[in-house]
Amino acid sequence: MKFGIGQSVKRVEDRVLLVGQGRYTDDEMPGEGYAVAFLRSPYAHAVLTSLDISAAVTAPGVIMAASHADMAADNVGEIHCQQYVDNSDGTVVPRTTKPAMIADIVRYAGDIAAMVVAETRQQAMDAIELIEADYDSMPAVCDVYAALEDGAPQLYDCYPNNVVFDWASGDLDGARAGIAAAKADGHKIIEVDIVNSRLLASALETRPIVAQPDGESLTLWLPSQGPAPLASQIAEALGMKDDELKVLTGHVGGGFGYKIFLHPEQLCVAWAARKIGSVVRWQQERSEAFLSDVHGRDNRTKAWAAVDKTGKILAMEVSVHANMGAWLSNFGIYIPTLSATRTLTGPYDIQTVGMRVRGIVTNTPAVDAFRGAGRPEANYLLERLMDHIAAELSIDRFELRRRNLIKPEQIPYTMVEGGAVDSGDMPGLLDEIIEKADVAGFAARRAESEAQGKYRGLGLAMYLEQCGQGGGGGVDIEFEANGSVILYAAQQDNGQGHLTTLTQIFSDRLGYDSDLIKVVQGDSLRTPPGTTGGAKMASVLGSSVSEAASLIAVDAQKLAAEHLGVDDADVGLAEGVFTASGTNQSISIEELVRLTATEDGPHPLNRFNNYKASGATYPYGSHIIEIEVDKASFVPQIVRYTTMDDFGNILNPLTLFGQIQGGIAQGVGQALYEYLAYDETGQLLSGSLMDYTLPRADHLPMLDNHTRNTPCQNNLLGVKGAGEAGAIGAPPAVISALCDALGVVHIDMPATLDTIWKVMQAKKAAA
Amino acid sequence: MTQLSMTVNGQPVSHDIEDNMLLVTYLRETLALTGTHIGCDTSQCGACVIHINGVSAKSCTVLAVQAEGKDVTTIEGIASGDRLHPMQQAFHDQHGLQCGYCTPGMVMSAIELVQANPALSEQDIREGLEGNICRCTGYHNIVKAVQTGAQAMRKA
Repeated sequence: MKFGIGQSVKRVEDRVLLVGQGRYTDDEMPGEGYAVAFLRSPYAHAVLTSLDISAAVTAPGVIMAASHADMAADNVGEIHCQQYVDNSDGTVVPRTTKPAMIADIVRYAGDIAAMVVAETRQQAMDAIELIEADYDSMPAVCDVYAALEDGAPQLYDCYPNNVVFDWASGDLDGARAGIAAAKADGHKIIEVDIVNSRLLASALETRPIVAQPDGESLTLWLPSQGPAPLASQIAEALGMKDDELKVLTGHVGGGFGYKIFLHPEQLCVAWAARKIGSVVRWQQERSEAFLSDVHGRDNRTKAWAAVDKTGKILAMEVSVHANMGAWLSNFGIYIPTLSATRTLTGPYDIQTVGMRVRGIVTNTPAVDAFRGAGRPEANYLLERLMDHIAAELSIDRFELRRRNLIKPEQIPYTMVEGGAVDSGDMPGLLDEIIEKADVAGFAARRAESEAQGKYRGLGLAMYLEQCGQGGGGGVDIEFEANGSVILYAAQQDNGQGHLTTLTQIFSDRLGYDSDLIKVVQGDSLRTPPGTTGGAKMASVLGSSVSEAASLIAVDAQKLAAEHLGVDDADVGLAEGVFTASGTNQSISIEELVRLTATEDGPHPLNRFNNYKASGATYPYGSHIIEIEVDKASFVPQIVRYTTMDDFGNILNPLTLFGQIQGGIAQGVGQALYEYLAYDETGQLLSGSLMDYTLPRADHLPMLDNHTRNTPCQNNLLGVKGAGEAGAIGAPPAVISALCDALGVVHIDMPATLDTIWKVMQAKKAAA
Repeated sequence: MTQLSMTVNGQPVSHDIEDNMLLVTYLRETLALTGTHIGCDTSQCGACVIHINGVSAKSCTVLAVQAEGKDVTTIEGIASGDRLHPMQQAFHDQHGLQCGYCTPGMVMSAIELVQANPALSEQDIREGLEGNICRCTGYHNIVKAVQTGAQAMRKA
């Protein structure tokens, strides 16, 4: 069977998953090995004054109990932040690392005080109860603004006032001057003050680990978004040679960012397995995920924009307070700074912009990338600003955006904060989605909702994303004597359908029988390095497979010519068959692979390829939403949802729209439901799925998804990337619609019933 | 320890087990039927849904001993040889799964929903799947899959 590019090919991943034969981490050796349980600090900020694990050591079934002292005695390394920025005054940000278990100071509730390894999980959990830990608790701080106040609890001596970094990008002075000058000229200054609340990625599979030692070597099974970065960090921390540690990732039950990053438990379990010399497994409970996974978002942002009378933005200043949590995770600093700034001006032509970002430590779990990773935060700011400007200047929200959008004739368009948008027609897309969403019919639908006792609102958002950069383009292609081919690929499928997409590309380029193509990922010692993240699978890895296939075609042509006894130039490849021109002599590529296989050496057509894209990709699009709010209960319900995106060339519409739809649900979750809430002592108030509301089937309507594509100029396939777009576009569109329904200018995320009620009470009081 | 006997996917099974063992643990760790998943600890996510005597149940919230003498069906037991159950086929055809972790529970819940109400509406499906969380698909294609699966089950 041959798969073409651009077809809605059904996924090759599905069958094993549908019959219960998936191999997720916890499915490895089910029930075997010793079990791990962790003692976690109940305090968010405290000194661990004493720890007595002796009673646990002698408890039934216990193999080992350990604390930081034991790991420190073995010189186990700590977790490092992998990318720092410099302060805007030129000073270097002090480096701090995170030990796997508490050394002395507790900085968030849930940090690990001790671990127990026992024959059964129940025994491990029972033994945990016997450990005596004494703490001197201290006042905690969870909110970024509170952390800056005089007298606020201090987390680290090297971060005075809890400020890790104070970074600036763009032309901050120019933006301030531009705003001052515009004000002096009588232009309006519009201000927004918004919340990007703290979220849990909440992949349905948690973050288990299975560790199997073998002499000096160790095999770890864990869910990841590419095992190589975790393998290198764990090997370094444990003082192992790179080839002694093998990290394997099988099926992954969702990633969304956090499964890229090193977490404390991975070091603990890997260390314990080597110490004991036996298989050790940890099954992370959901409640532990809330306490110990790195979290997402958690920014407070203020922005000021000077606008002329037509609503055109003249200058914009942005100030972000980014919550780092209690320690600096792998990409924790990168996300609100270098990631967010890339698309600060979005799809709009704004020439004077500056951004200041302060990274602030608080007594909460660390924050790192979650779907979109800085770009949803930046886009939400821009779109809220648009709605505020529209309200202030009494300009239609659609028209206001149209006036500020980058015009097709300005493309390629160099953004003042970053890259050059290579392709697109933003106003054209906006006009077309307005048609598709039947904005003209909204008034009639609103009247119908009114008649049923419901407010109805119309909302929109635009977005522009920058993706398709970074590594992860490696593919090692091996042909076998039976005609099958294995693509050892970088990155890691977490449900996106990598195997299908890469099979499609390879099959399309060579006409290769898709049934003979096997894609393998997730082996740190065999598959090329690089993670999945930043919506770059198709543009980087897909282009790599496409390029490799083209190079293989050239090599194969020579072999085919030799086989057919003609000159290279007289052989052509079509539909997977090499034919000597002017003859009826031909050979299929699969047959050629069989015939040219060597007895013991590698196949002559084998090839390693590592494609690097010539530039980033710039998908953009629009979401238009209609929402109803029951006047008696304030329950919101999204009733119409239309999207239109420019994703460049499309490889597989079926999986592409799947990505959009999933991203939308996560964005709707952020807008209306999800929130990791902390009290003033640093206790998590929404620490289970009974308290933290993930969107359910009845929270969402059917989704009407469209594309209006212009091929990307910066990679071989002309693709732009769709993995994060839904999560970027949805939050501002939902809030825009909700504000329109309620007749207010702003409501903060998550717009829960409580928040809606308060906003409506304030509106009533003001009337 | 208690002697436990039940039928799982048509096969009689019997083991001595701890009284406090959950049915999901028995299925996954004793029988190595790892298609049934655990996604939470508060009976919210539905990744562990199976059928007990034809009725869907969250196996994380049932003690194994409560299934004594019962007829248990898991995701591994609904295809006929190589032929997928119509609901499994519908999830494939409609791209109703991405990471696949919620899928076994989703399919088992959907089958019972359709058996209980063959003419179910989109709203019935959405409300009926309220106890199954999917973090990948946005439910759009799951709803389409259940609609398609329901049609196929009516014909079958």
